[in-house]
Amino acid sequence: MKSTKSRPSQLWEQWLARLHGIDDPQKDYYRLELLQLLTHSSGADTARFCSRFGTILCHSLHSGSVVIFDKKNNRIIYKDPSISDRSLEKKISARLPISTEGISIRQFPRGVKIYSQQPPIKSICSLKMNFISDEEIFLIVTSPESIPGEDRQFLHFVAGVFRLFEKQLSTERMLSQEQRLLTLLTQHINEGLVLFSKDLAVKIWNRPLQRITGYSPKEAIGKNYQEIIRVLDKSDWLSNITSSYKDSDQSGFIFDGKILTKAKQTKWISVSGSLLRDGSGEIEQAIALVRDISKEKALEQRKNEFISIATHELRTPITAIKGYLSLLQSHAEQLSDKQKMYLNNAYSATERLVGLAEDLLQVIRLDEDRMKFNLQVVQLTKIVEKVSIDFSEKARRKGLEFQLTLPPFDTTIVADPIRLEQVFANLIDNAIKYTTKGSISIAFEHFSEKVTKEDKVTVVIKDTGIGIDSKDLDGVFEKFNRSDRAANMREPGAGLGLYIVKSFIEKQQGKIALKSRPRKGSTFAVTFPIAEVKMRSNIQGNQYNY
Amino acid sequence: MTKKKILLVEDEPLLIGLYKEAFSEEPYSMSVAESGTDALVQVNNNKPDLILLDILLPGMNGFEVLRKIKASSKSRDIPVIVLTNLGSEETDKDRQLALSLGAIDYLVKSYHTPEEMIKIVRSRLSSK
Repeated sequence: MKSTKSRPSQLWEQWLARLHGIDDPQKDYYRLELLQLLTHSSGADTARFCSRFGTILCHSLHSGSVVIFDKKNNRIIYKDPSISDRSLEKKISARLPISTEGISIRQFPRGVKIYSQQPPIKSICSLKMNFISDEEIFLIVTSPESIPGEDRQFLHFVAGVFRLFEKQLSTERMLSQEQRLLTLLTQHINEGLVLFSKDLAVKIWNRPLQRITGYSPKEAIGKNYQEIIRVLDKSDWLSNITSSYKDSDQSGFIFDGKILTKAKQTKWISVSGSLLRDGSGEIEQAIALVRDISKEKALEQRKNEFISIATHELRTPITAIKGYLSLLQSHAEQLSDKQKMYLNNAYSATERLVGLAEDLLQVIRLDEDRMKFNLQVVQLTKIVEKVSIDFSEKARRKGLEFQLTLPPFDTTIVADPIRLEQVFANLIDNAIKYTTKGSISIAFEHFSEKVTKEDKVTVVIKDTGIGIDSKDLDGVFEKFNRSDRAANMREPGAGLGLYIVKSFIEKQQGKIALKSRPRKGSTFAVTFPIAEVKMRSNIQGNQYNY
Repeated sequence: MTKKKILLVEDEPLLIGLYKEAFSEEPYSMSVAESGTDALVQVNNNKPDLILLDILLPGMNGFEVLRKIKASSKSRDIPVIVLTNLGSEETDKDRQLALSLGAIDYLVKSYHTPEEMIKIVRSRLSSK
């Protein structure tokens, strides 16, 4: 029992006092503050909240002692320091009836009830607090004497406040645990989270997105995305989300892009999300996580600049070495066979350096989107045939069977013939490189896309080589990636070839797929849309001929 | 018959040495300019039959030099082959810029042996 009781000007009391005056304009603010205190008091925090709440309450009452009891976990969370009666604790903990009148904790009704009891507990006030979760907390106020009228009123008021909160909790977004989790997630996740309607109006916009874009949830919600996400890239990837996926069953999307923030700053963001469809497959909403990747991009750019400079710097001495070696080769009559061999080896090593420098530069240009594709109407068969002829000799020298089957159907596509040649040269060269016995076969397939009805042509390049372990399959098309098996073959390479191949194909509206089994071989399938007749006539003037 | 004159615009000693050496056995006389300004002076004083022009030069870059050569009626007709160790020979922006400015060819130095270079020069000079 405290000797000095006063009503301190605690925040708690202020809030309650404010809440009393219904017309107070600050009412909502205080209510929200309290609400937040309550809603953020789940799990371990409940204990902290209760002990804070208990202290405040204990100071606010003229008489009586405060005990807060967690029914679910059957333990006392807060106990007024003045309570020394151990038997009280024991009784409550053991969930035994507290009073001689047989009132058990289980039966404590909601709200405030004041019970008179035998000594040492004269009166008990109980208040059942239901927090958002399924916890049930009891507030028990004990007093050696009957609780004075003023405190009684106050306790009734506290009960009223809690009921008000409970109502708020249920009417507002705290209806269910999931919704609360969702709110916690959207507001506290350290990534931008946005939910678009199908016409790309913003429905959810969390705080981290304000950090990224400068627009607050209040400013963003309800607006069309174009007002708040200003895309700086040539193609508006965002508006493409709903349009380009409309007819496919694809639902995930991921892309990086440049935007202009509210403060007119340019930022790189990475957006990954998925489309939410209704039962009939129509797009209803799109949800996406947004991350600020400006730092990563700046770093990547610096790295690329470095590689670019380093490569250009490398090219000069390589040119000189290769040049002098070739001058030496043209004066090789006086050299012994051994010296000639040294010279040839040095020359082919230099050739490899030239190729490596070239690959590095191409990767950088691809990454920075600086590579130009000179799109023309091309016959896919012509290009594959030309590359096959170039490489068939290499396969023959290795004792491999080399088979090209030309198709009876039309393979006209729109692509850059030089890049396309590079793609197939790389794939066929790889097939020969990683095959020691057996065959390389190249064939064409024609099919119609199920959803879009688009005509497609696929070039299938199949080898009976070392194959790729399933664990390595995913990384095959990443840059600087080489499988252990490839490295074990002691074949030269920086792991850039397939990255370049895939990028080239995708920049030309194509796709590449790979199937492989270790020791059985690999099959690469390169697919392009067949050019529509209308498109052909548009580009006809630029026909590419071999 | 007087030897045809080739002007090599290049600032990298390693490559000046290489190309001078390679061209020394050919029936050409090769002079070297190590900067754009120097190149323009030489073009003016001793008009070459062909120019091999590097892009990365101290001060004025190769494109500027090319623009000036093509802007003057005196030197407009000199064939210019742009040499570079930047970019690539295929569908590169630099290549298109060089060709649009009037260069007859765009070669990446590290791709070609001196002999190939000589062959290209020879065919360009004979077709002139």
